[in-house]
Amino acid sequence: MAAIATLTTYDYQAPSCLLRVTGQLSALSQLTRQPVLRGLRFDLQIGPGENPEAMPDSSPLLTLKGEENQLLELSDRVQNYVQGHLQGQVTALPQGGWITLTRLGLTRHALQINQPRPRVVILSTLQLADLADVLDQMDSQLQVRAEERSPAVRQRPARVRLWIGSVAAVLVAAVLGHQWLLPNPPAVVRSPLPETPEAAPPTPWSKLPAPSPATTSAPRPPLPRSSPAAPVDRQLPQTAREPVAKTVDPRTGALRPTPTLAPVTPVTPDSPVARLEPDSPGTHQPQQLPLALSTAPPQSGPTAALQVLSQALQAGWAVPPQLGESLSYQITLAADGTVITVQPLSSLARDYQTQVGLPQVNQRIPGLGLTQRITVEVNYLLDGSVRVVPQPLAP
Amino acid sequence: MIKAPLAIPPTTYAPNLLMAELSFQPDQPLAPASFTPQQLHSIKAQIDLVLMAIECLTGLGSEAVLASAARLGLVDLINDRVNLWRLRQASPLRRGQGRKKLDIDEARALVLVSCDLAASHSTTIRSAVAALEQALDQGRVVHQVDILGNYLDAFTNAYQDRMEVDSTAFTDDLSALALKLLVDLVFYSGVQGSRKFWLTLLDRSGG
Repeated sequence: MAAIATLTTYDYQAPSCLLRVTGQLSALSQLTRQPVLRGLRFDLQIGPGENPEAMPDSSPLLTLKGEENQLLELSDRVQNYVQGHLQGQVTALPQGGWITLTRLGLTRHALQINQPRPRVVILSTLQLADLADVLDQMDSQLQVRAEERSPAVRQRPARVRLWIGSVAAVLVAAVLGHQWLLPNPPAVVRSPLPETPEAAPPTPWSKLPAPSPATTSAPRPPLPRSSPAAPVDRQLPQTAREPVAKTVDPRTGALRPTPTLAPVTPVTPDSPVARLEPDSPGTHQPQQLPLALSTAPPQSGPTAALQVLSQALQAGWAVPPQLGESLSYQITLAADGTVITVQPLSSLARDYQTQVGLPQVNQRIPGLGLTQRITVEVNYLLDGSVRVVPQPLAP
Repeated sequence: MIKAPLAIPPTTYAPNLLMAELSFQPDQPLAPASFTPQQLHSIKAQIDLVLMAIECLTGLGSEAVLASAARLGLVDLINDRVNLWRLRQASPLRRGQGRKKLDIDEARALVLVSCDLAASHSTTIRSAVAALEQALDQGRVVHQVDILGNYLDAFTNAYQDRMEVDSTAFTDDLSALALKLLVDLVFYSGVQGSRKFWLTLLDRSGG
């Protein structure tokens, strides 16, 4: 008897972010207030949000695909980072795995994807908030039953251990062939959007290419119990494994390898991403230093001053081998380029203050072309780059 | 492993569940039943500042706070203007004497009301933050952007009017504080914003 795998898709949306999760609705869903998914795949797209002119070709800034453990890890990372950001932490949280978030300033955040190939996407505050929102929506409306998870990935304690007994009981029942246990869920379940008295802003999301419609009832091939699954090139070796033959493409119903991270839109000199301002959201390779400056056209005014300052600081920056996190300083410059103050933003930054090539107070940096006093936050990043972020100016 | 059910949008909660939501933290020990005076000191100040930021950005007044409290079923804790004034006056930063003690339920209620108001005006908050990002990108003076200039002016005036202002407190410092609060409001206006706000209060107070 051929078993039927019922795939259900949930969409979670925010103005600049779309998260689509697809998985098999567990029989446990009958016993819970929220649906329980297993064998989950996700497709995450981050778009321009309120700043569509930054992405005139409507292509998403970032597309990520993966499986449940990666999604849970992403959710953990983002929630921890946001909480740290709200608490005013200026240094990066200790992180690892395939996702790292680093604060670049009041409104800029570097989302570094470490595997399968390193790359960095600069998120605005609104994009970060939207990313946190869709993950929170999923968290509050869906339960994910992870197949297997390495301790390094799972940092949170198990939330509901009381489920273990129910899980075992229902799985036994399911294995015994009680197909009637499975409900008939709607083909595609759209997550409700939060209702607010004030109309939501017109979303530019429609400009982003939505994932193709999901097929919800796909024939499930017999499980290859006796024959081992063909080895698959897993690009994320730290995540849990599931036999490849059990993976059903939610779109075609065909067998396919486990999804991996989709490549980010390539950056070319002519691409909109490459034309971004130094502090604009964008994508870049960590080796292309400093951030986007190599592709940004020469400009005058504050932007040009920041470029000159960034290059000056870059020249003196070599990552100490034992350094484990980025270093941040706040520097105030007079209109003539004279350094007024240099303030380390963490105790670690204070320890390294004399080793990063910072200008000294009263030292003048020529060629900045400033017209007024300016305060910047300087981030010495572990990839060898130096990030200069202007701070709010006094009225 | 199964992810536990978490919060439902607050508007669907009964008041007691709303309050319980802020006590349940799957990743941390349960919220303490009481705080030390120093912890409450920080919490009271932070709540008042967030409410003030919302007021200065949106132009809301105490009537909106009371309406939100009524909508959330929190009238037992926030029932009239005098009561609200006394709760706000609990902030150690405030001018004047007669500060009222703020208990844990009152603090939770103010957090829920703050996030409800932020969510109700998320469009305004997002517009302001988008303008801030754009101004920083372009190296413009933030105060010259209409929505930000009005907000900064209102916040500075309100702060100087209501708080014990240190003579060394510069306008720059108040502007930086106002902008940090503005950015925080984006997160408080979103899904589970009240949880984020509450956790921030606990962490900042060392609880």
